[in-house]
Amino acid sequence: MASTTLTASVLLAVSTLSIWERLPQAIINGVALGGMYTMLVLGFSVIWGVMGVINFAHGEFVMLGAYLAWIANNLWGVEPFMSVPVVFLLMLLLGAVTQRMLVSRVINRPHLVSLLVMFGVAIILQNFMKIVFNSDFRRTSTALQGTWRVSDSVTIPVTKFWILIAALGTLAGLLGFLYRTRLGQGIRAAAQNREASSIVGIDVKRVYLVTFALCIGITGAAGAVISPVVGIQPFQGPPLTLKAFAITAMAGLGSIWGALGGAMMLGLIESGLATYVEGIGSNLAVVASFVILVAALVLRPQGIYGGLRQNDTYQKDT
Amino acid sequence: MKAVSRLKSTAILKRTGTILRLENMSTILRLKSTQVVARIFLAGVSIAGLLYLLVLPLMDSTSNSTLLTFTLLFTSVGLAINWNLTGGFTGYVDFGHAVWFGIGAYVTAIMMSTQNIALSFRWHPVPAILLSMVMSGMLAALIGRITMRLHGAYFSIAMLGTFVAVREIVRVASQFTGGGVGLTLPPYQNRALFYYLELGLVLTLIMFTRWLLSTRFGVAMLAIREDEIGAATRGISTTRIKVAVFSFAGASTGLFGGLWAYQNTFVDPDVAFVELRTVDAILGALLGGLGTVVGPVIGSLGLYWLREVLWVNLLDYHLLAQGVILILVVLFLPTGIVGIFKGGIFKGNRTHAARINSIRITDLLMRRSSNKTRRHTRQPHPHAHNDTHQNSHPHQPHPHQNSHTHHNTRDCHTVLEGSGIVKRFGGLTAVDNVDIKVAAGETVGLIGPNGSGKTTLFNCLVKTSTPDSGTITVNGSDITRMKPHQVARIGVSRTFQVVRVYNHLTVLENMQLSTQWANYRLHDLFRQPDSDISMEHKLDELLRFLLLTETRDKLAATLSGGQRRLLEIAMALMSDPMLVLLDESTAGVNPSLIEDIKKRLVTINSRDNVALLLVEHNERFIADLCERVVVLDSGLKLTEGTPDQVMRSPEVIEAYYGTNITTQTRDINVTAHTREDTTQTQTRDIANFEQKNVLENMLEVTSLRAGYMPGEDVVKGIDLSVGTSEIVCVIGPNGSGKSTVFKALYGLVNVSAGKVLCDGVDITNLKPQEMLTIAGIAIVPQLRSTFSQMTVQENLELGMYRCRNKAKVRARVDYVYDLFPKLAERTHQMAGTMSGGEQRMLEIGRSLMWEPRMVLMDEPSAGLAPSVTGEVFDTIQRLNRETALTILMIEQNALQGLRVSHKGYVIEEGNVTYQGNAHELLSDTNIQQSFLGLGC
Repeated sequence: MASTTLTASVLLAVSTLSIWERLPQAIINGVALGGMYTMLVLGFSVIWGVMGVINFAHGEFVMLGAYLAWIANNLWGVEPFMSVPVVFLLMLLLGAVTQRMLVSRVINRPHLVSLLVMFGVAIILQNFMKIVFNSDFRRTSTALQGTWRVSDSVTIPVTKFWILIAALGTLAGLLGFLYRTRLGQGIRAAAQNREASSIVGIDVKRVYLVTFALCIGITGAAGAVISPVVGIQPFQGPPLTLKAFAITAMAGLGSIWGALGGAMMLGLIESGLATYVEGIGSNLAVVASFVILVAALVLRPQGIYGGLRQNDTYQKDT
Repeated sequence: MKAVSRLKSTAILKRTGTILRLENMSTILRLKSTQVVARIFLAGVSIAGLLYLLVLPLMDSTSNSTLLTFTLLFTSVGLAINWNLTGGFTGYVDFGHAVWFGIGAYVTAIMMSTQNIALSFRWHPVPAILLSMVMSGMLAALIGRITMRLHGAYFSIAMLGTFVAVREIVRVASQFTGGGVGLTLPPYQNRALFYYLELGLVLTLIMFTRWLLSTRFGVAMLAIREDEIGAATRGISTTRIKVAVFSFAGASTGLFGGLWAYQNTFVDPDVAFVELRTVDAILGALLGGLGTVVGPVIGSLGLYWLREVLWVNLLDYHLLAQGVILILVVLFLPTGIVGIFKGGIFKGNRTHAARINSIRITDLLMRRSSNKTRRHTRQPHPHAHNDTHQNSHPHQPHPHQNSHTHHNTRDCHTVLEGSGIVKRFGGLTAVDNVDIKVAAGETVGLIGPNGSGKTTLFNCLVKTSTPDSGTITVNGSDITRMKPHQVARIGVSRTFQVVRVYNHLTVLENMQLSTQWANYRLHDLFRQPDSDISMEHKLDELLRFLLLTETRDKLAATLSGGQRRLLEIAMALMSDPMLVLLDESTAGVNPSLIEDIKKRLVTINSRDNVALLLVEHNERFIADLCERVVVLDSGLKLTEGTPDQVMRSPEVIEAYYGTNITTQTRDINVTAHTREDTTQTQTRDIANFEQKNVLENMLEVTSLRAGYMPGEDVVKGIDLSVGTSEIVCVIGPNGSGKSTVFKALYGLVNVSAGKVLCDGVDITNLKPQEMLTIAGIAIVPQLRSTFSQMTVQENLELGMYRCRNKAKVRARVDYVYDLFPKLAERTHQMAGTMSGGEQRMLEIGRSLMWEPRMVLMDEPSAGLAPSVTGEVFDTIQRLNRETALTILMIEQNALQGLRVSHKGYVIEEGNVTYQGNAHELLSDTNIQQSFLGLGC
């Protein structure tokens, strides 16, 4: 449900043109969608890469961020892009609390334990938001809207352009943090070898707290940023989680550049489907991400680019 | 009405009580009276409940809506049971199970709907619902074939993906499914029929699950859950079994879906595909007890009770509460409700909740005593009851009885041949065009420095991993395209470097599931594991032969490291192999047990004509056991020949033993002469050392007690002291607690009593990350601890992570480079691409970054080839001499460890049994015999 509106709202249906004439627009739409996905996937990917926790409530944290932006937009008319810093800080706090209360308890357990716990968090957040806001679709309004006309058949959607910029900005910031700061070095070290990190004096618990809080902050910010183009609804989360998972599996756990590449690839595939499979293409987008997910996992279990975590050595549930 | 049923139930309760007592007298006698009462009570309650359910539709007061509620309840119980088949017993946690429900519902709807869709016929409900079952089952088999190649969380998410994707496809394919509008079915009102139907289904499913678990198929399911790779190498066709279970669960859920669609008379994507159904199933199974027969039933009923009775006024909040329950159950009740009771009422059986199945197997064992007469009619094995005889004459060939055919046709033909095997990992060619041959009954050793590709070659040969090119034949037939279980079935079994036994199963069960699966036809899979008398016989014989008879009913987890090795060898022999591949069977085994293992292997080889291919680091073991040795070096086959030839070959000496040739060759053939020599060297060292004089104790450990579980201390009061600028070596057999001492010192294990003082400061129970910063003690752990994706430089810098002064860090890095010129050459190389020895140097170098007071090393020689081991110990000695570094190390290689040390401690069973100057220990005959491998 939510997934169809996500892509359908984003893509323009241009059907009177020939295949080649439709291509530039399909690419632009794909890149725009890819920018959105980049913004969405970063937090998920880094949490998985550093902590080995699959944040199954990822989509729900996006949803919360979007609702926060909607509240600011609806009550005080705050521009969604402007509310990003506040949303980021609030979500950072929520992330820290979640890490302290729940994630820290499951971090050394098999994947499935953390997966189930985060699944529980997802159920709680969905139903809590449903109780507070009911199931209606909401959307924020922004001044950065409309399209820039490039030629008769090619336009650039303004909002999505700014989302792409925001995504690239976040990506650069995250890269700088991870590769240029001491704490970032500690985070990368903890991702690679937890025990070795603690023996060189890195407080791994603190590193995890910072990582989780930061990533939930980014995830919430992503929700705020995409709120003008995506219907906000309590149950919009699962397809987003699925997409984040597909991209990360393709890209390598915690690989920042991989996340960009994977997001762009998924965006282009979905945009291509929507452009060339008339009528139902946008509905099939989620099927596409599923096929990509399974193919990526089956064919390349370590991901294409390699990431912070070289390979995901999860233990089996016993 | 209710009063009547209550009366009935009390009557039933009494009756069941007597039945229970009569039938199960032996079991009950072992239990306490409270447990008996509780069991009778439970049986009574369930029978009363069942009766109530049976008569409910007949009562006048029961409305149709009540019946519908109950039918839906049965559906969710059924789904939980089905989910538990894959999630609980096979270990594949399915997050999209409801997809089969939706597919089932849609198949029935499409077949029965009169709506104007592409398929405009109208089937009778019975075939339609049956088709639902078949279609769901087939689709589950199809999708399972793909998604079940994934493991753990990946499978879970892939199934969630399947769910979302199928729902979208149903929405899109509106010609058939009516799209978002949905389909309407003809109305139907006979609720009672469906009520009974689904009740019957649920009961059948419970009985079915119970029965399935008692069969070989059930054992195979559990084996897959516990260790899938291990299961495959023991000949279990893992794919077939897990897909079969998955598709059965899918079919069964599809049946419930079809029934639901017919009753609901309407389907659309949003009511047929509800993620909440999966959540309910998972939650029901988890709450009741994952991997238990009754768990899902109890859990689902419990959930229903919570939702419909307790929180009936909470409206939307009950969904929210479900999330809370999920988290609470996962965190605090991982064994579910059944698990709690198993601790109490069912204490007579095993306590581990995940093991309810094994109770069935144990029950069968009890039953076996009645089969004894049958077994005695078989011809007794000549040495079946002569343990001591076997022990004292291991080389004597035994007339080995074996039903398996290939034993009769043994000659000197080639059993296994690999030619041109290539395996690459990314840019690294781990195995480069290697040819290897093993003849029937031959013993071949595979040696080479660390990282030379031995284990990779092994994995390729038994198809645990697939070579990039090359062919492998067994008895002349090509097995290159075979799966691991097929390789096991044609008579090639293996052991693993890291022992893979089923910790949660008993020794007996481990053996049972390693049987020769090729002997079983499909229907044999559904018989009980001990139904094959000849197999049972062989099992007993093998256990006796490998000294495991005593441990028969113990959990494999409770065995010692050496016993686990023996168990793994026994398991490998269960399938009557013609070739066994042994990967480091002596790693981490106490030297006295190594002798036992060696004797047993010789017997296996000479008596049963089983060919052996061994990967080993222990050259003496290889020299004693092997007729031929193949040497690998960086993925290439360097040479092959008899052990003598190979050890003398100059290229081998260079590649394998490095430049340190003289000391190393001495190690290989330890004789009385060299032993004296050793002692002399040591005396000289001590003389040097004593010139330095004045020893204050830097580290003082007093009556240290520590363990992994409260009340079960592994380390039982140890006193240690390490003087300034001293090297102290702690040795001891495996499982003696020496690693635990180490972990307790650096805070990975909690110290329950005693004190650790460092320069007079109490450092007991410091956290690992504080050891360095507060106590100034650096650590070199046993497992590889470099940051493999970072450069050498970054690795060293991280050694001073807590220091913010960049200039100081740089100065220390330069200092370490001075000490280790080899590292300086590799500043920008990724640590992970360096050899094992280089990485160990890097670890030692990194530990020096923080100017530590002392360095703790856990088995610095672990996992290194002999030439490198020497280098590591030389380095340790050099550091001590040049920088007066204080070192405490725990070492498996007692000889080399003590040789470079000043003081030694021997730890056995958690206590210090010997201590003294290293050279004293080295010359002590007791210690020589038990730890240095010099005895006998």
